Amino acid sequence: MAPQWHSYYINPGESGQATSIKWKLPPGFKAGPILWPVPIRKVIGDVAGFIYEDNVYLITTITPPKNLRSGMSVRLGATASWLLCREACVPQKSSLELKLRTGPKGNPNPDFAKVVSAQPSRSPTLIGQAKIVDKHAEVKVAVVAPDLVGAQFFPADPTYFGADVSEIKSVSSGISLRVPLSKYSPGIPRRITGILVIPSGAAKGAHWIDIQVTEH
Amino acid sequence: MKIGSLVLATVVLGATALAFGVSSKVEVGASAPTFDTLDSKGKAVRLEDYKGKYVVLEWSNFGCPYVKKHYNSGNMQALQRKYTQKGVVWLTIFSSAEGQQGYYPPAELTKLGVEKKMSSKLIPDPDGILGKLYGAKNTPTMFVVDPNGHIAYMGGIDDKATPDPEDIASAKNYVATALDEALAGKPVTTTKSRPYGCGIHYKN
Repeated sequence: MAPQWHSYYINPGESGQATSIKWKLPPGFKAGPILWPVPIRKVIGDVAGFIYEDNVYLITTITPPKNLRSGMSVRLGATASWLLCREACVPQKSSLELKLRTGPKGNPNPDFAKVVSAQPSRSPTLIGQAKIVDKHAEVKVAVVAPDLVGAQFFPADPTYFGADVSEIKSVSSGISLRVPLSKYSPGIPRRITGILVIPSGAAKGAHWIDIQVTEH
Repeated sequence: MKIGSLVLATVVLGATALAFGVSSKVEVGASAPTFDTLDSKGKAVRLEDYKGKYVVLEWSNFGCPYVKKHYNSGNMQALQRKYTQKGVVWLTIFSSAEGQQGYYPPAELTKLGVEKKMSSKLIPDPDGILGKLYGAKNTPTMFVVDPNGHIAYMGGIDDKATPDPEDIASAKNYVATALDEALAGKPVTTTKSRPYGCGIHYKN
């Protein structure tokens, strides 16, 4: 993106719209959801958003059918729609196609590996509990992280969450988050999803969390 | 022969005090924050003057693709016309600061209102006072205030958060539904939803 222009995370915050991709795939192929990288929280003139600046790579896992054979030509099509904003906002759309040939050995793109390694981890072992108390999601994550200065949480569901700052602190059992619900929230979310960024320690890095809400 | 007398009345638009209520909790069921401001023609607009009527507050920005979706299609104007004919007061508010995208001088606003065939009162809010009072962050963001001055609906205009006019026909219009229900004496079923659109460019 050109300097100062930005696009949006799955939860864009108080304005904007997340990028979406419509795939056109051969029979038997399935596309997963976009695997969102860590966004930035930016407040522009009183309006807070979760955005991406410069270059952003939105990864999608495409799963081929089990009967995929070597030597086949495969055409993957995608139409991506996104909102690009600076002062003004411009909706953009782009249709792209990729022709690949299946073979016995993969041919990984080295630049791609860099992008993948920057992805938030999606560890199934990152467990926790969540409940809704007083218009906040109180989330406990079972990860020990004594130093949480600079920790951030980017909630993923825009129906229930805006771009408010979460309270994040260390507790004996791990990390405790207090995430404000959006004032437009229609009720109580079933799950708390989003990216938790731990700045230092053994669990340093970005982690995707997906925790079921139990009591409220 | 009767000679009518010609009276020239000069109206002076002086520095009228603009008054705004305290920003209490803006939520469904709460009292809508009061305000005493001017429309684009310099006429007084006071929330308390509308007691006994439904009031729609519509935050707008003609340059925003999500607003254009509803204006180029005529959707917003149709809503304004339908409900103002039923006695609803409709205020279209512009809270972008002077010099920022979305700002128009009052005379320009009046002109655009006529061009776009709007039935609402256009309210310039370049200092963002009204916008911040209601916590409006993007356009279009809508509020419905009931005849007792309480917030009956707040949030998005409909449930399709896209800039595509093709989505209007199949969208659930929360504002129209809330007004239809309320005007029929029924409870409003969806009292809030996420507003979608472009960020308002408040004064720094």
